[in-house]
Amino acid sequence: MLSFAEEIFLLALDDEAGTLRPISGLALGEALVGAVLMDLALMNRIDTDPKILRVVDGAPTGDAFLDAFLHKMQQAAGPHPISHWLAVLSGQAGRIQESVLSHLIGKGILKQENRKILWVFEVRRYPMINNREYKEVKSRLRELILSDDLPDPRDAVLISLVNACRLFDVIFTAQELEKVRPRINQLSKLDLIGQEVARAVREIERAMVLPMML
Amino acid sequence: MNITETKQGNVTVIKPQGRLDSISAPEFESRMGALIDGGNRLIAVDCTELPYVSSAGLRAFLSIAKKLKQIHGKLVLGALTSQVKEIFDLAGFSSILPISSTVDDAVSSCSREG
Repeated sequence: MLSFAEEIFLLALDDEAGTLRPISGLALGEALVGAVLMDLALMNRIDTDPKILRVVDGAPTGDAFLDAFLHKMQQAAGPHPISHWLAVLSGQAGRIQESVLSHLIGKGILKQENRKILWVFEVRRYPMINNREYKEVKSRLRELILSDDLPDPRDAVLISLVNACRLFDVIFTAQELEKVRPRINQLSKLDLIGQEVARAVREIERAMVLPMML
Repeated sequence: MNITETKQGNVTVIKPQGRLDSISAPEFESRMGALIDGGNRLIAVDCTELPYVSSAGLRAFLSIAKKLKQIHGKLVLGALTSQVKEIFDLAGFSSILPISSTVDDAVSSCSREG
């Protein structure tokens, strides 16, 4: 099974070009940090409510990367709200992305290609060599949203992250998206960490748009 | 967490007492799962003594409701405390799970499905 960070990264990747879709790198960074928190929450290592996030079990998860985050949160004087941890850990978004890429390459889903443009600039691409997981995530979410089924907690988390990054246009056409928007909005609220990620992404987008309006 | 169960007609009434968080949610989910596997498909939850629900508790409710829906059963929550109602409203659970203002209404709502 893929982690949330791996699933969201695959959806953010243009499977043909092997490059990230035109979403803000900062927004993807917030989503990746949120994904790590959600992985820890579903492993019962952290628990949250609208006011705080607390470490409830510091036992190793078996994933060195997640354990480093867990350790950092456990050592902090706290407790703090989810938004605090999103802000603190957003500095690690680049590391998370590197780790996700290395896992996806290791699992045989992506490969790394280095190309030179104008014989000088090196561009790195990550073409998909096995798109089974990518297709499975897309069809699972599509089927769920088009039905009136309840999501399981894992899919509720993923829907909130995909929505926060505005990546549902990878799964639905513009016309479909207009119809399913109320259902997506309803399901996106079900996860509290997802709500905070969406809020953080909106703030980033506002901050980026503001200078253009002045 | 203390969990009691009673039967009112064809409806099983579950009364969790205490906080529903990452500590108690696995036990709550497992007890509810065993009830469902045992053939109880109409379940009303008496929330009068449920003062707190964390994200882990919300996930437990979501899993249970999904499991019941898959077998054409029903989960209805009754008499939410103000704190729990607040978190249900915030997380949008009030719009996806049936909630009644009293336990009796929750049982009646379940019975209508039977």
